[in-house]
Amino acid sequence: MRATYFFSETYTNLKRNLLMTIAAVSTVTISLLLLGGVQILGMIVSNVTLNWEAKVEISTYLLDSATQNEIKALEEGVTQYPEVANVTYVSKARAFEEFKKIYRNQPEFYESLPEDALPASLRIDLVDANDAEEVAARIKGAPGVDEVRFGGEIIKRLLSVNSLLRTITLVMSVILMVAAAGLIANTIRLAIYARRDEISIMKLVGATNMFIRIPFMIEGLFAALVGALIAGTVVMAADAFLFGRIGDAFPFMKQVFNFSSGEIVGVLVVLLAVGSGVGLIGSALALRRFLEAA
Amino acid sequence: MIRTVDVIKEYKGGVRALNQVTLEIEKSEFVFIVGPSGSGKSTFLKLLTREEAPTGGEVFVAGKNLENLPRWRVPYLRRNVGCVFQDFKLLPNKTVFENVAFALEVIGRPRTVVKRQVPQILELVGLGEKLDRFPDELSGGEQQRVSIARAFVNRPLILIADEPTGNLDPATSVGIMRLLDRINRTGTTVVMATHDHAIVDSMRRRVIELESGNIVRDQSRGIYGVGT
Repeated sequence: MRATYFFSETYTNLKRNLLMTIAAVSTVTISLLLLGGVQILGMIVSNVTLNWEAKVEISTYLLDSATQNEIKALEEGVTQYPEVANVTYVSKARAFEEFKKIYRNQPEFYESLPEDALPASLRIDLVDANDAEEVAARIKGAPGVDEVRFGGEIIKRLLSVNSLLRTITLVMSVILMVAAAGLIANTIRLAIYARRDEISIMKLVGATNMFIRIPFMIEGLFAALVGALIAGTVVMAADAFLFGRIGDAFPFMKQVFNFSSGEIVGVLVVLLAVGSGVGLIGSALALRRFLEAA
Repeated sequence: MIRTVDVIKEYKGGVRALNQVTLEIEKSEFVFIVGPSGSGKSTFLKLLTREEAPTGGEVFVAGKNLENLPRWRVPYLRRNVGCVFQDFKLLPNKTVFENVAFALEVIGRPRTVVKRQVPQILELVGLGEKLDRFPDELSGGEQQRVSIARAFVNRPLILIADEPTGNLDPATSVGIMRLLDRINRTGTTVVMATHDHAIVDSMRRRVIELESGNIVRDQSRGIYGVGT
């Protein structure tokens, strides 16, 4: 019977205070949309970064004098490194083929070269591009190795830009969450203020504080959940109709705007969790002041 | 039922609303608290529901020393003390039935009890036909009856009324006093603060007169005041 009271009370209040309900719901929606937007921005940054990092590889040029055994030992050794994702052996012949392909419009570059002019090498793909310098240093002294090259300075700079961008989106997310919490709490406070007479009568007739609090908290939760659902629907709609089109219109953006359904679900979960948490905590905080007075 | 010992109440800024008030009110008594505005009547009533705490002295209500009453017990004290005010304090967005039912629901009474007791009490106060009206569709006297029904539906030991007839015309006031008298006859202690000479003089009940926070008269079967 108490549950019936709480829910019928909540329903009646939401209906009779329709304007306040709309205000609360739209506040939550807008705050959470901003939060969702920042999250998607974060995902875009991370996609861009992954693109760059996927292109980072270490080229290990081998001495012409390197024996088959040395090469084999090196290849097997490097494959064992936990930082290394993949190792490919590029023979002199293949290196020359690739060279020809790159300069196919300027045949004069390779016509004069003997077919074994280019060194054989190992191409090493890394799990994390940040490890490039360290792995390169480890390989450098190995027998049969002539020279080790990776993007070096450029890679380092790109990586630091990436980590800066990630930090910025993270900080923005946190700031937005706090702002959303404040806005929602404030809206609920206004809703409660509009009904302070009701609260004072509840206290007068001997309602316990918990009993007074529960319908308001259900209301706060309800408004926040509706707001989160609207914001979530917008995010899903954007994913379904907008991001794909951007990818189609600008092929180079395809990777950047391609999110897995897991990532989108992640955004929705964050929106629902932040929305409901803030709805509950906001209403409880906003109520405290009214309950403590006498 | 109610006992105060040397009760002092000072508000911020050093205004002393009550000064060494000692009195005792027995079960099923009907007591008028009279005196000019600012004499401390309302403050005295607020001490009984713990809306205010005394600065000094002790207040006992229904056998409990309110000084030792923890904050979380205050709601349970209030379930034993019904309150009626000059301005009715009804919720404008609830019907007559809902206003009274609210008082039972918020203390966790089961729905079946609410459905049985609310129409009963509204019948008692003479509003059995107006359950679905909203407060602004009622006259002042009817609104005060709703407010009394709300205060009494839980059968409290004590009913406190702060100028319940202050906003009503004399004829309507008589009806309200009849109602309070009937409630008093069920064994409920009634404490009523008032300015209304005619009512006090006609009821002939115990009168406690306050002046600047001091008890200046305590008279059984009294009238409003000598020379006023």
